[in-house]
Amino acid sequence: MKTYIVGGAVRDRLLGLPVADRDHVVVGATPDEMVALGYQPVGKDFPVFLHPQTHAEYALARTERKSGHGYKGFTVYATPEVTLEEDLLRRDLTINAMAEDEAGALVDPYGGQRDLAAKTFRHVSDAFAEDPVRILRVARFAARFTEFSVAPETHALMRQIVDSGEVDALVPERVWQEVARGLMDKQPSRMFQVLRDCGALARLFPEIDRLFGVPQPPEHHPEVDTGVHVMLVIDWAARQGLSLPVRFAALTHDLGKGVTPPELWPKHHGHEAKSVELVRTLCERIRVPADCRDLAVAVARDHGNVQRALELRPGTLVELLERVDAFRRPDRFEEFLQACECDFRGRPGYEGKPFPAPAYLRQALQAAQTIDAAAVARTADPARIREAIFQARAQLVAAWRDRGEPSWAHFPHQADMGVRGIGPTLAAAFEQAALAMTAVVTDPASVAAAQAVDIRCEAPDNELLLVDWLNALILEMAARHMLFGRFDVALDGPRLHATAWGEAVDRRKHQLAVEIKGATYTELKVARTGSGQWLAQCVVDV
Amino acid sequence: MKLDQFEQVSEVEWRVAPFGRMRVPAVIYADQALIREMDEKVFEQLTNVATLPGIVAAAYAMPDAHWGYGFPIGGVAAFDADAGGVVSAGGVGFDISCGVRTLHTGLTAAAIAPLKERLADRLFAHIPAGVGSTGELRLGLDEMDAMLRGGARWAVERGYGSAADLDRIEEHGCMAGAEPDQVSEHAKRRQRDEIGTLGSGNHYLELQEIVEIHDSKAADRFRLRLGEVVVSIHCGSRGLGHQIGTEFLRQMVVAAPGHGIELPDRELACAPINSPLGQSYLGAMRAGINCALANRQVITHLTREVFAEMLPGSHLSLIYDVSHNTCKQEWHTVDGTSRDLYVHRKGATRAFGPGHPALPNELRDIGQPVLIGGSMGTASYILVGTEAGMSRAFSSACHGAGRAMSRHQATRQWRGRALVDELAGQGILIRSPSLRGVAEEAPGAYKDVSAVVEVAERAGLARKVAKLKPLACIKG
Repeated sequence: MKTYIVGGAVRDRLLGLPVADRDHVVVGATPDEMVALGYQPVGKDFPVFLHPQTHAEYALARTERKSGHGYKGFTVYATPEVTLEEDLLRRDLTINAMAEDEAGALVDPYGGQRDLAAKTFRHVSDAFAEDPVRILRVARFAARFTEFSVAPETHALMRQIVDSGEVDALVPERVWQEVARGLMDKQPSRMFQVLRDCGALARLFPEIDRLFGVPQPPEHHPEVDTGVHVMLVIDWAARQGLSLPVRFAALTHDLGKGVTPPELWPKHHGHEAKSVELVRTLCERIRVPADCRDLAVAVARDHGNVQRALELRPGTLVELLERVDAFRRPDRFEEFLQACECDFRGRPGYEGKPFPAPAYLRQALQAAQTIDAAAVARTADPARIREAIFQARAQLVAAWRDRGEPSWAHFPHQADMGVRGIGPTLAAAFEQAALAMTAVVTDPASVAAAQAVDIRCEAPDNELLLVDWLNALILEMAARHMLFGRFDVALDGPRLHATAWGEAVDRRKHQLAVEIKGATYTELKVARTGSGQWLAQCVVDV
Repeated sequence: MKLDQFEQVSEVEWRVAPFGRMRVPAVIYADQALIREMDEKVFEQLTNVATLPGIVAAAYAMPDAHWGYGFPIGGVAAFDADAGGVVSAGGVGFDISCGVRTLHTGLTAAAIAPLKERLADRLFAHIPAGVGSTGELRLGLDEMDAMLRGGARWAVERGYGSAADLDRIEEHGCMAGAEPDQVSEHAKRRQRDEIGTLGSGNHYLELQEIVEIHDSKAADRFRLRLGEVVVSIHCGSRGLGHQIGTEFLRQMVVAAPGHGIELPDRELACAPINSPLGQSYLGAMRAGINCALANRQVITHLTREVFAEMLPGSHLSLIYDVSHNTCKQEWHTVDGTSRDLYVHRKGATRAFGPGHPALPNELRDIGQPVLIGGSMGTASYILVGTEAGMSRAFSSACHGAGRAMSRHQATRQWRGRALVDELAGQGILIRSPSLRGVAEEAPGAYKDVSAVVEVAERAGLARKVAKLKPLACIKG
């Protein structure tokens, strides 16, 4: 008997990629011989064994003949006479139909290396058509190997499979399994592109296919086409390395736009409710797991409200927070915000724009959480506790918003970090921006106010003054080896006079992340926001 | 970025013809995949650079280009002083002369293996790294000025290393034209006790094993042998450089209208080379370069002390020292004419080909070693400058992997402790004062350096010589 490494492991090694699992094929052996050698049989439909020590998978070389409709309809022949070449012939793509013998010599009867070099997905033989799941696999590979394209003859064959109706017989679980894996790959939009090109998208996911060609208002959506937007959104989610539920929610949030009557285009009033309905139907059809479904429904329903968060009334904010279950499931709430941020950024030119909504909603949640629920429950009419709690939360959010409570946040920059301060006055916004900067280095709450440092600067405009203020702090931090956790800023026209309180850097006490080199003019903005608050922000170089 | 905004010159060269206020084209060296992954900001920033007065030939971006400040990181642009050319503090960046040097140990990975843990611990204990760390040296004002004038030569004169090191450093270890008087008191205050410190962020000291040789002739000349261990040091000009960058950027922003310069982005702030401000910046920036060279020289000395203590008889010799964030006056042939130019390299490495007079005698016929740092836990590369590269991007090559993900996202995705354990499982020891810093620098937050190096070679910017795999990493 001879043993070969086959499939993905061989392909990935040739591509110089890390090899995770090694699948093996054994030629010239019977199941009894394998068992006698200590291998443990595990295959239900065909003979697969686990290696006694490594527990890697070893399958006997086999051929398959189609004997019925769908995924299960196969007859398997796995006798010692089946050759390696016959086994490789039944595989999907030439790049996956290579083997390596025990000495490391490559067996490549179907041009796998040639197609790797040409970056081409090409089917090995017409047996490809026997399993329609392979269409999904090719699409998924396109999301992973982003430079590869489908060979014209393979594309034609995929079309033919779609036209024959074979795709409609796919088992829902298999569809979800492949799509879920593709969503977690590098550029998921390519999977949908391949599916769309061969007509499979319209059969498997008509609600996604429909989005292509549906216009949106160009002033908010420079990409116009809803399908293009959704593809940008899922690719953004993938680039951020976000979780599967977030990526699935990103994929489905705008499904409702596909059913807007064309005479109403490019507007899509109320598309969120239609999205929710379509997401539910889709999830039921392909058996999407509950965590993915629930997040997708929440994002479909409320992504519009998140984009408008800063304009919502306190009661509406609390309703939103309760609807997404933010009080009980903070992790889910974070994923919800991530998906909504992907929606915002999945538009050309929006990749680096400030998006204050997530920080704003987190703070609203924090304010609403300060409620003493037990006290409310004691005083309220037992039949109306829910409503009493809602009212109390809404009051807390209203108070938080009216106080214009100062706050800070970080925003992303590719190599460095953005710092943002918000406050009722310009001075408060400057103080908060300084706190945000300290938070790049360490938790501001861990810095004691042991020593005060006096800082003065002057600049021709507010934006330069912000950069000067932060750079003055950076100089004091560096030269004194101090951290600052409290700031008191006074502004007099172009002049700033401030006191910064802090203490010496202590590695044991402060969880130190990184040192700041300087405050920059990138994403620099000092302005009043719509709600009358001051915002002061820029990127700091670390 | 979208491909259709470029004219494809070759498989690895993409061009944007001048439009709007651009004076020259913009050129990116990258393959389709890298271009697609680049942030749209690279296009915007590079075409902005092409609008600056006196720019020559084109604004170039290297395969690892990403969103920077004014200039993209991985940007190269040259200016002619006599044609109204400018020098830009943003085009050099905050960390003036941040760079990499690599030292031979002459020891095999097998010989070091039993000592690896202790060696990593000793290096971590001996070389100050991370926020707020200070060096042993305290520089008074006179000694500070001497350091700013002398660079690595100053350090060697004080007993940190040997004269042989100097030949293996750009500018032979000492940048001419440095003017310590142009460096502010603030900047010197920031530097008082920072000589001989690594800093933080993406800075590191790494033990690396040579795992692949791609060009055996050049490898022989650089004395790189498969299975041997080298030490790479990545750091810059510390607080002094940052302060020079901050202060001159501010001055150039304010002075730009007076110089008749309309800035498309404040971060592109610049001043004519032939102006008092331009000259003042050049003097200060060159002092910043010397500060970085002195810093890496002192860290080299500290590294040698640890090796001498643990592996008596070992000899660490310098292979080369390259700087990434600089503006240097160099002669280049443009359209058949030799011209005196001020070349900005922001996150790009100089890559002189064979025969260049600036190279040390023993490397002149083979070309300059180009050291490419990976991210923590991933491969690094040594390349060599090529003849062909002399006519591309003013002899420049890429400098590293470039981030693929912001620090913010990285900390959401990884935990420092788990990363340290995972890398230890792969035989890579991490020593760092900051677990959050480790998470922010997670290998997965960076692009694949191998792809970048591959394209640099295909574009003829430099040729691969050897691949290095990390064994231990001291992280700031």
